[in-house]
Amino acid sequence: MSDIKRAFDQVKASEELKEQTESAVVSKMMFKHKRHRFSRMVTACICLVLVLGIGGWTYLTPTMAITIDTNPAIELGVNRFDRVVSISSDDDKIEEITKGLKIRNKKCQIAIDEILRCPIIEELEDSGQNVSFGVDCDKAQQRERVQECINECQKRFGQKQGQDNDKTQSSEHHGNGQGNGYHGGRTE
Amino acid sequence: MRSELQVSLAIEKYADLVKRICMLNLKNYADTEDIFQTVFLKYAMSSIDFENDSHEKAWFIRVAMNASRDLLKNFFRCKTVSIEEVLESSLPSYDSIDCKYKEVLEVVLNLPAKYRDVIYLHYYEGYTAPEIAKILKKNVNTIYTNLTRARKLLRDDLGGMMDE
Repeated sequence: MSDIKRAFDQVKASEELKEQTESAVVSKMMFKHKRHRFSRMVTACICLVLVLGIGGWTYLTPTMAITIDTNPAIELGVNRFDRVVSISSDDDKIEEITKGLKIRNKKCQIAIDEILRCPIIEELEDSGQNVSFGVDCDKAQQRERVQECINECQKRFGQKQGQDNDKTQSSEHHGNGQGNGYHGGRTE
Repeated sequence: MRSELQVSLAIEKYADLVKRICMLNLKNYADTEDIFQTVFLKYAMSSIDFENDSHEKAWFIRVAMNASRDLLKNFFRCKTVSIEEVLESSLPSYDSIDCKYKEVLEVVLNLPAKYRDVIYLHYYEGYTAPEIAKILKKNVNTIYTNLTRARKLLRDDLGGMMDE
């Protein structure tokens, strides 16, 4: 058995092999380290794109429509964070004016305040035209929250609170030239 | 990932061990370089905290054996070279070995793979059967059986040399 031990003792790694291995391993380590860093950066970028994409989609998707029926109506698209993400109107002039107000991305209460302070709306009110609000939202919590905001705005402007209407009604009103989720509220 | 110094120390410490395992499994000097790089690169990239030197040594044995077997699998898939030819190609690299020991080595290398490993680990590294079973992840009784059979084969081939 000692012969087996002595025989294996004869087998030794040469210095050349050790040096070659060391230099190869070190260079591969450096390469892997760089690749690892690159892959981490790529992963971070993908995560960032995903976060921005999903976040953007979440933010920009309207979950609720607030209609300010001023004949023609102004419709505000509101996201889940109660911020205005879109403004539209059948009347080009009103649409231009509301876009000029820069209410996009503002809280819907502030947006409604600014719209109601807008001279053209004040003129409409002065001339005895009705201004009513409509809320179309599937989420009860958000609808109640926004309804409270609208009530506050109406109080400030001495207006009556509109009452909720279901979607069927709102679409009927929309067909009549009125916005989605029409409440039937009227200015005093 | 380990530092260059750690890798350098490991190469210095375990190069001979890895080389012997390569020789046992591959019988080919040319592939030894590949296995060397694979084993020490695995060591460099691993983050295992070794409990002690024997744990580290066992890790190297295990990794070197697995790497050799993986290479053999690829080797047989890509090329069809007979063992005899490989042995012939390996001989020049062992020129420095005495004739007497060369004969012993050749007898050991001609044993079936499962016997070669246990013979090396038991007679050279001094591991007991339960320790070998742990390293090779095999049943202790299998190791005892393999050792007995390997001894018998060696006795048949080496004759009197085994009794020394």
